[in-house]
Amino acid sequence: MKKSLAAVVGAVLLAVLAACGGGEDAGAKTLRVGTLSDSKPNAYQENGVFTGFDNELLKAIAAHQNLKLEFVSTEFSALLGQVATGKFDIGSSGISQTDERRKTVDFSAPYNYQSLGIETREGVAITDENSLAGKRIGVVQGTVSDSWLTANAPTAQAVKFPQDAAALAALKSGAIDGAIFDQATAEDYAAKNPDAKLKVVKAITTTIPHGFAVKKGNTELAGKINAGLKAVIADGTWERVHQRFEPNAPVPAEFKAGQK
Amino acid sequence: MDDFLNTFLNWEYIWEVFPDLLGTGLLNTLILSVFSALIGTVLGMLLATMGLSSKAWLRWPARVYTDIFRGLPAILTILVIGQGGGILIPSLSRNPYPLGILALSLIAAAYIGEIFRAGIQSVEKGQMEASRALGMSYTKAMTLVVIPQGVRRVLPALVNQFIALVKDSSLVYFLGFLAEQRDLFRIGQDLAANTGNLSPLVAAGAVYLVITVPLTHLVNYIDKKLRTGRKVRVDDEGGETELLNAGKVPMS
Repeated sequence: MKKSLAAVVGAVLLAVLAACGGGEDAGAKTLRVGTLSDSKPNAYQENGVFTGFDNELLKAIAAHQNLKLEFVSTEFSALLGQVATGKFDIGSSGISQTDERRKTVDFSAPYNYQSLGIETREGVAITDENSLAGKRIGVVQGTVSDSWLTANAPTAQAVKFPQDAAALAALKSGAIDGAIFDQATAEDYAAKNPDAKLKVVKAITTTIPHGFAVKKGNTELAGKINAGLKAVIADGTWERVHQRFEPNAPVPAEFKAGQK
Repeated sequence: MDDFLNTFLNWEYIWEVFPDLLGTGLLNTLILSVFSALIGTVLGMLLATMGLSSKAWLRWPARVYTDIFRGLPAILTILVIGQGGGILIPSLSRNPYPLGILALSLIAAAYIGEIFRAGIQSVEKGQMEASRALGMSYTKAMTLVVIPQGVRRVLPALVNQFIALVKDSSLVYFLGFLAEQRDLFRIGQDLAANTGNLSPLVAAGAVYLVITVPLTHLVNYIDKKLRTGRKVRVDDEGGETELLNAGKVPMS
């Protein structure tokens, strides 16, 4: 009796596994894109649709190259590993192309630079990166803000949060003195929280470029993305998408329409 | 297979993350979980005895508390107490530890209270009746006779809860940590985010096992001891030399 029950359970499990495996084969032609659902303005979800600067740019590139995309949300710390193992074909979430990450994945050509904003509350003596020393400054773990703060204000007390919302709440409640967000996000927060009297005191353009991540050695896909990227920069699509998500951030010369 | 090993067991990254895990993360995880376990156990016992009381004004608050704190996602409770507590008491908002420990304790208390209640209720009615018949008050009978037996029976379930607490302690991170305040999981995640490799998290997992596995075996050992008592030896003449100090009577 016990044995037959085990056999039935085993058979059901096998059937379920087989069914799951079958599903992946059928969708092999659609590229799976790993992205984030909460990282404005680069990658986020709105009304059930994955959007943001990076994802809209990628959609434009895909349209140009006749690629079909399917977006899946994940955790940033897991994203590159999932690209490396082939769970996702492309990683898209404002990923800085650091040497450390190049050991794990390959990157497309640069498609953007992060603009950061130093945000604080009225009455706090923070005006620029030089006045961060000794202050409690919130950053989201593993982001450009995090590495920028470590490199440019090593004497600040970096308070690490898992995502923007937690850091914003801490800034509003006074648990931290300031925070480094993406510039467009920081301005959005200041506008939407008039009671908290938040202000962006300084905008900073960083120098490490963003790239779409692909599996190491997948030069075919990287080549297609790069060709599409060239085309959407040349025809002005890049600037249009940029205007939509980061209207106040400067447009680097290399991304202006007409660039080859 | 190589991909798999490289993603989860890349020794270079594991080697890199280990000093931080042992030097910073282990201590922080232990601080968070040990303090919450202690406070949670005390509050849990309070909730259990309140829940078993014959007085409705004691029973109902315990019931409502348990339903709420057991029913909400832990992360929400931590955010509400951690961030909200900081707004109400600004002096606490600069350090996530006190409020984080409070939130974890309050959540743990709800679960531990139910574990204690189940244990106490499993003690045969006769125990209470006999104690009362001997002239003990209700309180005395509970504290000296019923509760000790009940707690003993649920020790394994209690340790289950402690293990869950050790793992849940990583959620306090939502309140914001300085580099030296990070717990095991966050240290692993930091390096994982910077490298795109998951091996640092696997290394953190190994340290969690170093805490949780001995805990399980310790409770099994204690549990067995309490169930069987010390061995009784009988000497050659048939006299029971050690019977008088033979320890606990075997339990059902």
